[in-house]
Amino acid sequence: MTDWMISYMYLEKQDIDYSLLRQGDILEGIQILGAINLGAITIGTNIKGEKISWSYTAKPVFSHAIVLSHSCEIDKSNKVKLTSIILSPIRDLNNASPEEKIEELKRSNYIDENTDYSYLKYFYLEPHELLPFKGGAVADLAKCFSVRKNSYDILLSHKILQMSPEAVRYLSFKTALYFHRDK
Amino acid sequence: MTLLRSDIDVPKVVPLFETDNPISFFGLNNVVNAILNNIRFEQLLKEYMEAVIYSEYLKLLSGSVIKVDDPFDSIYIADLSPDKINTETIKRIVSIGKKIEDHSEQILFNDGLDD
Repeated sequence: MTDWMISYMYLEKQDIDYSLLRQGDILEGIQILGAINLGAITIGTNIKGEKISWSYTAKPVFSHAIVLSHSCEIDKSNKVKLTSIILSPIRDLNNASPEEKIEELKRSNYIDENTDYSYLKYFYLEPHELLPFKGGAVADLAKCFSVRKNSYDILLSHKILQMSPEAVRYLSFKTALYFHRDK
Repeated sequence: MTLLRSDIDVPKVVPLFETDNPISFFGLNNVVNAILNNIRFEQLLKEYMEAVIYSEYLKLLSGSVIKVDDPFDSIYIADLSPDKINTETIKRIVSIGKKIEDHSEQILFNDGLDD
């Protein structure tokens, strides 16, 4: 094992806590609300001109998604701070190119002081028997979106995998770096 | 104008319309006064209002009343406590962020989502 490899990315099934959402949880069948084109929304108004409804006619996009909110913020016992849950869609690397860059991307989760460049927008997810991405996938951090806290139980029912604490640290570190710009 | 009720037994009626209002010309004030001075009408109105209040209360208890759905619930700053954030981690993020280059744009996807 080289230094860029996470010792294990996902918890074993018997170790997964299906009663809670945690940072790094992988959910299946999530509607990717971030894919909505705001310009295609039709707003309905009443006689007073108040906006009372909206409609959007387009094919909904469903995908796997990963929980980006940190675990303590979405802890159900933490009723004060739990206001929304941030998700990021997962994209199949079989649809990505070029191949040589993909191989670099797969090694880019580990970042330290000697790292000159990375693929900060993407967090690589290894293949797993419960995932349909046989060649691996990425969490697209640039396409994150949030849903309201009253969606918690719905999201929880879609949880299929939980990342290891080590992998979660890599994920949160890369996410922070992606949003941080010092230039 | 306000309709004042200072004595339940002897209702008083404040004129609802000015005398130059065409409606008043037809004696609407008289009609209103006659209705409000009618003990039977007062009893009917009381029963109706009580029925409405009880009905709404039962709906509230049964959960069938749609509450105001506020997508951005109140956050009480005073109730928040700060997270413990490792300052070394922040320094590390800033330090690495100063020199690292992002090559994400070199990856192309063909999955229908815009890049």
